[in-house]
Amino acid sequence: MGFEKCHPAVNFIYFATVIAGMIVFQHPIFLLISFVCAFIYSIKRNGWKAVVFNAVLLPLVAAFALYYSSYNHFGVTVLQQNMIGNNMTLESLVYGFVLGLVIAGVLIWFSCVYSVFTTDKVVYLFGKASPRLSLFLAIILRMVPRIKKEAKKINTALRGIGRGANQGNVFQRLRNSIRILSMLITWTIDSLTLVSESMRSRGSSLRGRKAFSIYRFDNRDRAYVVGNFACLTVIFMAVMLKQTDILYDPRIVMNPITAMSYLFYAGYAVFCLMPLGLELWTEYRFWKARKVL
Amino acid sequence: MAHFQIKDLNFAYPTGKGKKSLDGVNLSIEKGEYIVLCGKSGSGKTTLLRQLKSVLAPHGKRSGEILFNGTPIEKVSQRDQSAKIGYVMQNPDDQIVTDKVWHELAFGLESLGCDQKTMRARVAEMACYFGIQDWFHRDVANLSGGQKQLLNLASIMAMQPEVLILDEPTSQLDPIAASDFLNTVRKINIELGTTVIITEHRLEDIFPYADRAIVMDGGKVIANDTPRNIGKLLYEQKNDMFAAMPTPVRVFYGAEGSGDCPLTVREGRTWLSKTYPEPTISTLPAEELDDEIEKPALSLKELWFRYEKDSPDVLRGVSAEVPTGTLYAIVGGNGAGKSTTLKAVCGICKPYRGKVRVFGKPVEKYKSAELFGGCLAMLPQDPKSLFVKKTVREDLAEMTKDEKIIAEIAEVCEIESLLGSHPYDLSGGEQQRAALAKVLLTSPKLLLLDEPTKGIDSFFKEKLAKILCKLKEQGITIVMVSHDVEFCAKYADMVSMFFDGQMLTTDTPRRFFGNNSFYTTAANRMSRHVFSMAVTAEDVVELCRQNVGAEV
Amino acid sequence: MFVIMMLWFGCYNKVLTSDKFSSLFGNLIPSVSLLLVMVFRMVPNFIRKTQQIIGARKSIGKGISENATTKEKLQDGGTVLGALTSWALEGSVVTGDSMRARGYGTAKRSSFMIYRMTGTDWILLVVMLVLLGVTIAAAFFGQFAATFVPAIDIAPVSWGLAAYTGYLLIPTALHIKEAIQWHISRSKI
Repeated sequence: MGFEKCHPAVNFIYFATVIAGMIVFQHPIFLLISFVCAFIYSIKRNGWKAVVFNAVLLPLVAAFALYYSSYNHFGVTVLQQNMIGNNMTLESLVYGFVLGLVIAGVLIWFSCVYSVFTTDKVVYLFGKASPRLSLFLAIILRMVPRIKKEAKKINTALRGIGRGANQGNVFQRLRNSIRILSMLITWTIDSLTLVSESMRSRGSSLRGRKAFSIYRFDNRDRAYVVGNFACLTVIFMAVMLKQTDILYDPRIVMNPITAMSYLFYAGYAVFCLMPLGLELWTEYRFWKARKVL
Repeated sequence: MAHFQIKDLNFAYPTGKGKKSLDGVNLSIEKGEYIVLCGKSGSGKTTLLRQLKSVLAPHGKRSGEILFNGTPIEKVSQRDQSAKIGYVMQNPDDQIVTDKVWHELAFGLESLGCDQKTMRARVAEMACYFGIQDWFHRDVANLSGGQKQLLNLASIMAMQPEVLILDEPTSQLDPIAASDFLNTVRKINIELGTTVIITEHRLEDIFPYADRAIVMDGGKVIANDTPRNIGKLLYEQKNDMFAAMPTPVRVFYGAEGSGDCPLTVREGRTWLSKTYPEPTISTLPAEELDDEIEKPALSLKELWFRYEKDSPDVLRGVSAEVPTGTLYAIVGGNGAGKSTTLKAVCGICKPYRGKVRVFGKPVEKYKSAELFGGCLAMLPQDPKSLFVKKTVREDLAEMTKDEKIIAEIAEVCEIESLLGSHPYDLSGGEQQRAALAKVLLTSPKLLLLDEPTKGIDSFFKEKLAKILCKLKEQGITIVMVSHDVEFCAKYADMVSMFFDGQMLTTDTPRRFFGNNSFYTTAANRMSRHVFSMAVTAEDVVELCRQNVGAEV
Repeated sequence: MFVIMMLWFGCYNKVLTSDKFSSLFGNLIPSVSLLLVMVFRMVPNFIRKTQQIIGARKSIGKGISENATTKEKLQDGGTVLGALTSWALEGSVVTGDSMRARGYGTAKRSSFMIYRMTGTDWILLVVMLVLLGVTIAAAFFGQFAATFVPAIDIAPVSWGLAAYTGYLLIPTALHIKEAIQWHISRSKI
């Protein structure tokens, strides 16, 4: 249940737009909305690990703000003079805070992306763009775990005759490691040759290659995309009406907050919270169906 | 010395009113033979097999002799019989005694009082031979049907028997598990030299590999010969049992072929290629398919369902439309979710996404009494779950008090003679029809059948098909979930394939099975290189006749 | 006290599974242990079959609607119970056949023991007996006395309590020791 059951294209559109929004908009209210939504969604998807992760991020953001303001000296409101005589201004502190929040927010969104996107969805999306590239990606995704396993196997085998990577003095260890590395490279090349033979015997070099798609675009995906673009229209209007502009240098200047701004804030919040809403709605329907049993 | 020597065996049940269940049976079974025992339900197969083991022999009047390795069976000690004669029964669940796999494997050895070392060694070697070592520590409740029956076989083989008697072992299993099981039995016969006596309704898998086939009818042995000659004999006698023969045999004799009778699909293909190298008429016309179905009886849209919040989805976007007055079959692998779909239609499982519409109205809008009293009804996989009273008549009377309607339905289902019996005393096919009668008493317009042909022989299958056709003429829509590809190919109007939680392809039987190369009938596999769109044995015979007519 | 009992029963349930229980009594009274094993097997089967019967009856319209009277609910329950009993009896006949076909009752039963006493088990047994002995001695000396009537009078903490605590903590200590050993051996790889 949940967002990962939607079509990968839907996932991609959503995450691309929401991360772009996070980076582009530096207005504090929009930023805050996006950050809070990212926080809530990451907790829903990852549980307690997300709380720990986010709790570690916030002090880092504050530290980054301090660091930023001690090296950038624009702005007029002086807070303090540091040892060399440069000014530490309020504007630079706030801007540093904003940048830190942007980076933290993007990290949290990426943790959500990681839990929604599996490797075969990435391969599928690439496959729509270019089948050969997606095939290349699929081969790499399979080879990397195999190389790790083979490295362990070679190391264990060599340990049995006393030539392992952590046996002997420093020079011997270095020599053993280099030996293992060269054997690993030989093995990888050999394995790739076999893989390519297997591919060619099944006709991978023929023209007209199509990609097998296991994902279907159903009605729920259609409805979601429509909703997504409706929210994007609202946000675009906000940009047109300069509701998202803000200046930090030399003075913090924002457009006044009117009743209409609340509309745009609500629109942005809805946009960021749509997957969460989808997951909660599906779980509610599941719970209701079970209750009647 | 023969392994089993049966001399002039007669047996009658005490309640049989003098009718002999076994009449003058004379058989000799050599060591290491693979014997297939076939016959209609009630012909005496199970009675004969049970006589071969004293603890299982039923009470009754018996005359004649059974010799095991030269000694009369009554004189062979219980201990010897348990160790040397193994018996596998039909129901995988009921045969298992303990709740853990390792305990069940050791059960027989424990009963014989073996010491620890012998038990450990034998259990270990049996587990390895059968490939059970992966699930050695599992609970029995978590095994599939095929695994349970394999466990029964392993538990018996751990006692190192000389002869293995199997009484319809695969009737409750799906086709893949059944063929795995029968292959294992064959492996045991070939590699260990164990004598195997097996009775089955599904003869396709075992007929070609048997050393001898014995046909029984009415308690008498009417044929006892190699499988190839049996086919010829049954065809010449125009016996009912001929319909149970494997497809290549039926096609060969139906088309009046000459030479050696083919027993396997491979031999059938060779024979067809030789006899019809260039057929002029090589395809049958496919049936028409309506594109738009107005007023479907049942419409499923994007159903999603799972049992627990954290378990994977069982139904993943199931969509289908069933036209009114048709027999709609759903086929697919074991555990794919076909039964769950039927339960979702009934409302037993509620999907959390998607809509179910019965006759145009969403199923949640129906009140329970309205839905099951005249609209739809489901016949479950295990028909015994429906019987709650002591006689069939009382069970039918639970549904309605009207005697006339009960009599009518009993006539449609051909169970008039069974109304006074206890439901559990009936055979598999009779229980199926009695359960169907009970379901029909709700006068449904949409009938859902979950595996109706499980464990019944070909004679009863034809009877069931006739009943279903009668119901279709009355305008009842029938949705059937089945593993039995041959039955669906012969009688269904539309066939749909269920895979990965979705209904993939829907088509008429000829096109559906004609386009598949593996999941199709034996007749299609045998003839697809020569004829196309021939999915039943009758189709192939028809095409053969047309080609002979054309050549002449 | 009730809460403590329930907690201990929860732990017992987790540790002592059905097959351990039956292998305990296996060698002493094989037939009783076999009976216990069969009961353990039947209970979940019965529950599953009851659900099947209720589902089957619902699908032909004999399910219980939400606003049925108590009498109707009892009647329906009785019918389902009757059906379950018939099914169980039929199944047990086949099980009995299957057991006798494999030689049940022909000879004195032995028991397949999948659990063996190892050296560690013996040491643990000795430690447990020692601590238990000390605890019983302490109880004998009145160190565990506590009266609540007429005034609360609890015996002071002493070495008896320490022995009792040690006894109770044996499984926990085993778990911790295993976890530490596992970590150490993992870090060595």
